[in-house]
Amino acid sequence: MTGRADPKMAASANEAGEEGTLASIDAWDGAGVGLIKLAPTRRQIKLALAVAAVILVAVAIVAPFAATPLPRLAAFIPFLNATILVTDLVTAILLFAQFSISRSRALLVLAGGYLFTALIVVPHALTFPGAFSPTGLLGAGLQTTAWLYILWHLAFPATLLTYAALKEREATVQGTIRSAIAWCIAITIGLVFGLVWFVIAADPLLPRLFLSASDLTLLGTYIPTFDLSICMIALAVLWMRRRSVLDLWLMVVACALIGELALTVVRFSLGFYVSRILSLATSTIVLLILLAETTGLYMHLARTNHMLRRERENKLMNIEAVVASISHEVKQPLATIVMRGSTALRFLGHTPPDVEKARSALKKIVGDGHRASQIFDNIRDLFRAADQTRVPINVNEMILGVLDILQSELTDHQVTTRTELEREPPSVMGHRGQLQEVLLNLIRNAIEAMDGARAGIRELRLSTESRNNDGTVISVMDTGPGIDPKKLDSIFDAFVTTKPRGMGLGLAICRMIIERHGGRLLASSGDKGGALFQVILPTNSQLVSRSVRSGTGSSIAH
Amino acid sequence: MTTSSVIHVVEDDQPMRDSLVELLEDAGYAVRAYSRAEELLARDAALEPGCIVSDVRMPGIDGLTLLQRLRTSGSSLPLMLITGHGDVSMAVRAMKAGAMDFLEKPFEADALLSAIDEALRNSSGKVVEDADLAHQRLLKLTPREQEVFDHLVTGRSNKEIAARMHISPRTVEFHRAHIMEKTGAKGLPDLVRLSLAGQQPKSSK
Repeated sequence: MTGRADPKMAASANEAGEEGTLASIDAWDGAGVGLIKLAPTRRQIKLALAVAAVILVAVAIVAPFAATPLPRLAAFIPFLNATILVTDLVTAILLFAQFSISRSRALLVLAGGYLFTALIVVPHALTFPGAFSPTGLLGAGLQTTAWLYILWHLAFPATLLTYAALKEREATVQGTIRSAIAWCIAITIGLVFGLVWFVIAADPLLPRLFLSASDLTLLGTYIPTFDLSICMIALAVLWMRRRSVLDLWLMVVACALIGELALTVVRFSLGFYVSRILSLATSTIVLLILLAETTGLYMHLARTNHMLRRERENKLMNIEAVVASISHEVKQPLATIVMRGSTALRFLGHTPPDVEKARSALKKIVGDGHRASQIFDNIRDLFRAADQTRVPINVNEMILGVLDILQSELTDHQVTTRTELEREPPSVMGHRGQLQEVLLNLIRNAIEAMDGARAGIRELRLSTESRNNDGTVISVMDTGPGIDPKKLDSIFDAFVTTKPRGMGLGLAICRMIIERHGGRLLASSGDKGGALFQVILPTNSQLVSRSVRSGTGSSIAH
Repeated sequence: MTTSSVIHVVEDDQPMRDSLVELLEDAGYAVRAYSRAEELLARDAALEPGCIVSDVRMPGIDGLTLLQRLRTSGSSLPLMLITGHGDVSMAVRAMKAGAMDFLEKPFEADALLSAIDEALRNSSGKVVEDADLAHQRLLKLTPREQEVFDHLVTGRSNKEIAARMHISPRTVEFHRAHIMEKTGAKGLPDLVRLSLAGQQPKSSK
């Protein structure tokens, strides 16, 4: 029973792909909800089998003694029917709610069936001889209650059967939910009133089921068997079309109904009492699982909601982080410009004015202006679509170029560099500025990491290596403290940075850039301590096949 | 101002550091520049008297930590913090930690020079406000202004204060201007100094 996964749900989960939270939301949309669609778990099946077994065993034990007369409890039927009224009404409401999510016609019919039972038990109790009056209220005749019972136990399995027949067709109700439910309720109420009127009015004309209040006719003895056979058919169809948790428990309901009808004998016998208790079981089983389902659904919803909110907050935080780091980066040259500008004014205010110094300050201001503007260019480059200017790149040259840029920084921080570059590595296709930015970032990270470490060698190791199946691997190794294994998972999260300054855009963007190039960025702790970052880029020849595979990877960027 | 005063500039951004050095040398100070707080701390004992001008955000030890380390090691050199993204609470923390002043980038040459001048004049490094004077000035405030003042010196922004006091930010602005006028403070650092002085016991009469 568990074997069949719903293909529709699997598809929607696939579509949503990486965004885990969104996938689960898709799955919860509309018809995918809970017990109507979900296959039962092994535990649920075991439990259902156990309940069905208990019912059948109880029926089998009681059956030989079914006719044993027991004391007559006048309040039994009113009490029992009142309970059924409440439980079936609640069940019907919950099923209507499920219907309004899924629009499944089958569920609407089932809800109608439960509503019908909830309503029919009222005249059944009222007309029951000896319950409210010796012959029953509503002008009931001798046969009225019995016929109501027979019709009730005909109509309910009939709705089970209809449910089973409709559910496979995925028939959904068009138009508004509200009117569909209103129609269903109106028809059900009309049916109940009609039947009650009919059995009362036609009492003298209907075939006799009872000779007296406690004596059954032959027809009275065997007519429950007719209802029972409808139940059997319903059970069989449900079995053949079993799929969901609801189907599973409806089969248990059918078993209870069968048990109930099998024990239906003369009133106030052992069989009578046991059978009516089973009818209570019929009405509570679905209610219980619906309640469990609704609670589970609510919990899931709350959790999903929480996750969504957190995701949104993260996004806002990321935007804040980006804005903060950009403004910090830009403010620095601006502050220098203000500083130098006001200093130049001072130079000119000297007597005599120190024109040479002022000129030199102004020259530097021009440079600072360019520096500020360059920052914006870098940021724009970083976010510009990747494919625009892809050129073949020699990774060795790029590494040496980056080291050149960082020369003064490396000397400042007393870092020695060692390069192990492969001779004539295959070129990679890429956006030079972006890849350079990634390397700059990784190397700056390494420098800062080694700053944190107190003594020892500060060595930056850069190597290139081409692997046949992987592409070109650029490794950046440092002799810093390495990466805390606990943080290894989160260091690529957007804008997680422990750095006090710098672009701070960090590893998330580095990884994004590399993935846009169809490559991978890996972090680990090196074999001699220190951190090891590896950029793996597909080489020219691999690019075609790789870019096809990376189709989903590039979608992250948008 | 003693001619032997040395200004120690701690700034990791090289162009900024150079421009600071150029200005201060032009103003006639002897200048020592450091690209990192660690470099300054390394020669803690040998630091020439004068004044420290330090950036707040730097790789390694930041400006606030530098200040705390200096104070715990017993150095009382006046220290002035400069930052590119100073928020109010950072200024308050700096002042409470014993910073002489707090300048937000971008600032002009004159602002820095007059701040340094002030710092050197009170180079004892102690809180310069006289407790009695502070009390007198604070007494001039109305209860409402006093309330705004208390919020301000704990580092809250106008908006936050408005929300807490259930008044409009413009009203806060209004109170703030009055407070500045009555106390003669030029900026938040002055207010914080005043508040710190006000918390000291009155001198006995």
